[in-house]
Amino acid sequence: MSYLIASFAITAVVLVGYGWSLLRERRGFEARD
Amino acid sequence: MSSEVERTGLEQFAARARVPLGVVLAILTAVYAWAVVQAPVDSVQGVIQKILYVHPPLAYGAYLGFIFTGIGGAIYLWREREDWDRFAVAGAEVGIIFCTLMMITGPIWARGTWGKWWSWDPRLTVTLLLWFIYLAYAVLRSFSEGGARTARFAAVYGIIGVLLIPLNYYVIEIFENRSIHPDNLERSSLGDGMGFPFLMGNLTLFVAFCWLFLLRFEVETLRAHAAIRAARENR
Repeated sequence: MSYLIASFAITAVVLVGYGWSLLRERRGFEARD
Repeated sequence: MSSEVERTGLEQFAARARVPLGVVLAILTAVYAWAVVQAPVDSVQGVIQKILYVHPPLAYGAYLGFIFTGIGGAIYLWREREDWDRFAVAGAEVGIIFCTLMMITGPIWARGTWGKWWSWDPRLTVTLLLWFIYLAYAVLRSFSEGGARTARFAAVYGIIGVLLIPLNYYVIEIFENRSIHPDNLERSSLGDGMGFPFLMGNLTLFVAFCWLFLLRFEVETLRAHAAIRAARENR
């Protein structure tokens, strides 16, 4: 069970974290404009 | 002179499509989570078999990202439009993220079923090679100062890398009984009640891929436009 949870948790954290970092960069450009 | 840099049709489409796609993604994620929880437990592998609902969809996302890099590179070489080069860069980066996650979830599944994290199996070896090829592409792009020469070289490199995808997919058939990786999925491979969660996994991660790709493409566009504006102001 722990392996299963780890697989889904790692996937979710990495994808959300990556998306969040892109959104932050995008907002940075908007703020400069 | 205006400091605004005009967006191409491709860039305008990416910026418009991202928000509605985000709403679809949120709904799909909720249905996907429910489908995985209620999916039946496999009688042979047990609960770890549910990694099936995330591992292959991540692989398809990785393939798609690298195919986008090849397509973007090919159109860049043909039309010499920089937005297609940015399209290729976005595809490679999101593809690498998906490929990395595939290479993490795969060994976790292997540890639970084969008893070891890694095997130099043909599928795993070619996947590692594919990952290295596009990682090298991303490193090349991040360390170079840009320009048409880099974009042309990267386009050719990205197109050649795509040739590895069919080999990666069919390597199990090519090596027949010498691979311990399970065969490619067919319609009859899934047990009762496993089709819907697998479909939801593919659909959700496909939409997640598209959303991240559009956002990454938009950021790459904003970076390029900021660099153009800075160059104009320094003139």
